[in-house]
Amino acid sequence: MGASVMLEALEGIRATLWPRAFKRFTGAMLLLPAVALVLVLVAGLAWMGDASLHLLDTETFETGADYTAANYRQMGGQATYWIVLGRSILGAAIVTLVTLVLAFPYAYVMVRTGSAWTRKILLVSLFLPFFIGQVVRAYGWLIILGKEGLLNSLFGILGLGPFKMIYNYPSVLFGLVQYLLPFAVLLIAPAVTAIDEEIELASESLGAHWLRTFRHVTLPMAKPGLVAAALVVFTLALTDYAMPVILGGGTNDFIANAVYDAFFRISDSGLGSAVAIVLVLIATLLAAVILTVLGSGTLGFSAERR
Amino acid sequence: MVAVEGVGKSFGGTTAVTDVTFSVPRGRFLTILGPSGSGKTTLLRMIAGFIEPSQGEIYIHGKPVSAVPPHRRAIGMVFQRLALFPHLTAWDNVAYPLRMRGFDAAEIPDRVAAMFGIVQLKGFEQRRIQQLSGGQQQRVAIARALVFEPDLVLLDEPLAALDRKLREEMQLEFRRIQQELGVTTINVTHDQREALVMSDEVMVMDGGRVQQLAPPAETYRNPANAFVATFIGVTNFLPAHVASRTGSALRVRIGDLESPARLADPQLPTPPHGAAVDCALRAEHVWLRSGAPADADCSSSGRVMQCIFEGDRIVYEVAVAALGPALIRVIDRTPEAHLLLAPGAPVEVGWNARDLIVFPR
Ligand SMILES: Nc1ncnc2c1ncn2[C@@H]1O[C@H](COP(=O)(O)OP(=O)(O)OP(=O)(O)O)[C@@H](O)[C@H]1O
Ligand SMILES: [Mg+2]
Repeated sequence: MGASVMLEALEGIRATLWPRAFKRFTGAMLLLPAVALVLVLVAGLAWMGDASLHLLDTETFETGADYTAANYRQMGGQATYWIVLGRSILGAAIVTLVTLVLAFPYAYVMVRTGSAWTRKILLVSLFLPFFIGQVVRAYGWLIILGKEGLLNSLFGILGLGPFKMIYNYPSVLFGLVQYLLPFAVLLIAPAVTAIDEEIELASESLGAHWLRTFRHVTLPMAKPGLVAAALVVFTLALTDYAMPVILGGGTNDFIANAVYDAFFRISDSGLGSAVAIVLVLIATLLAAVILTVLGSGTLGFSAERR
Repeated sequence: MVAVEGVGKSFGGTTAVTDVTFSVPRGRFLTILGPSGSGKTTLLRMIAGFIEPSQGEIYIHGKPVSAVPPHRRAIGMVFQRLALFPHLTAWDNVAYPLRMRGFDAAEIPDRVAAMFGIVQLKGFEQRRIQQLSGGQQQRVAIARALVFEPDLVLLDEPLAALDRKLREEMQLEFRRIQQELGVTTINVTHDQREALVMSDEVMVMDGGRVQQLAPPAETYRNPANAFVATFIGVTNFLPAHVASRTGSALRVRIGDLESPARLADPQLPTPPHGAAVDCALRAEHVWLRSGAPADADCSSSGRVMQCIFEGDRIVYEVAVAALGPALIRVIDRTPEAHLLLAPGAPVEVGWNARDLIVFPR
């Protein structure tokens, strides 16, 4: 009784605030928060774009009023930036490839296994890393892989080493793969779940052994999940900051580290903005490339026939 | 052609299939009929090679196939959920087995086109699977399973999901294709009508065991046991005692009534005088008359308790005082009467000796 009175009162308030005539705008209203968020991002980006076009006066430490492409020219002229850029893109590509190759079987077994225990263990090991921050995880690897670390002391007992396992490119990539694997598995698993197991059996009974079934049925059907995973892993790896700092120890900077250095080491927000803008452009471009290459057409036979 | 010998399968603790033996000669159509969970799919998957039998052996062309993986068995299968490839066109779905089985690329288009003709899907070749209706998808699945001329085709209730009219159409359609191509077929269903309509032989299963293996009319007229009698058709079960027997002539006492009857399996010894037995009486084998006594070997009077009008037939539930409290179900489809008796109407029911089937307990 009381509840219905309250509901009626609420309904009355709703009717004054949001009359029926407005109903067709309800969808648009629900979009507003997301649009607002994107707008803030775009505004920030616009500010950075503007900042990147002003040069810092090194005498007075004030940014000039004139528009100039000097920051971009300076960037293009410095080999370091090209090296950092190449290292980031190559690294992100390798990390994406390795992560997908590792994540697919993981997701597949997790979805298909008949044993509830296997599934539980795989799920828990998947989510556990999310509870530990990226930085803590990177430090964990330092403890294990460092010069005085766990592995090297084990090798020491065997009379081997010490080996240099951190502060190099592979260790950064390794850290990134370990960090991004759960994301990839989470994005691929629903795609595998969507493939009815009968379809794979059908492929086998039609004459395809498991490898061809995988190539012609499982893989193309899981493609939406793989594309999503590739996009997320690639952009997160390309723009990562913590792994290159902690596991690279300053020897293997990525673009985000260069942005940080420009902003906070040499306090040149113009140069920092320029680097950041370049990073955004490259990430967008490469994401578009991934989408067009993987996102369209099928791996089926249609092109083969005629 | 296919022979299954003493095959059994258990998953951990549960036994899905126990000691199944049967064979299907070339070009014949066998239907496995059974309720949900009776082990039909498990049996079919063992033949297809997806599951390994725990006991027994399966022979195709006289050769044991335990060691042959599914993709090397020449078996076409139509799955319970069709399992068409959604990322391929109808054409590519049908061409798939030809490509996977290494058919000469030059003859693939002709074979596929011929198959589209047989299943009457010409003009739909370039459609995606989602762009086809349920019946059309069914035809693609059948075409895909038949196009590589398999030794054997397995159907795992692919028609179950269709509405009744379409299902009955596809049953006849598949039977036509099957006879046209002369392909050996094992069909699985829990629809008794489908089993009777489509098959050369029906194998009734329950609890993982074979209950009866016989031609359709035989399973209907001479059910091997009480389970088959209940599962196929609408059947009344009446507990009874043997009243007398002289040679093969058998009389039973049901409640206050004595009736001539027939033993289900004449090979079995006739149960002794006074032995408790079960009598099966199909609902459509019961005569129903209002007024005049039924012209049958045995009859008694009763009262209509419920009347269900189903269009092509009427189902009555009749209380017969002489038979005790249980209601007798009667199916009436006599055209001349156009009778529709209301509850409470007095009637005469009756049956013939050959329709009262006696199963020893
Ligand atoms: N992989 C499995 N693990 C454990 N038990 C199983 C497995 N597959 C089937 N069973 C059991 O075996 C029995 C037979 O199953 P099956 O799928 O063969 O039945 P069915 O006759 O095809 O039933 P339906 O008509 O419902 O499809 C069931 O009791 C089922 O629970
Ligand atoms: Mg089944």
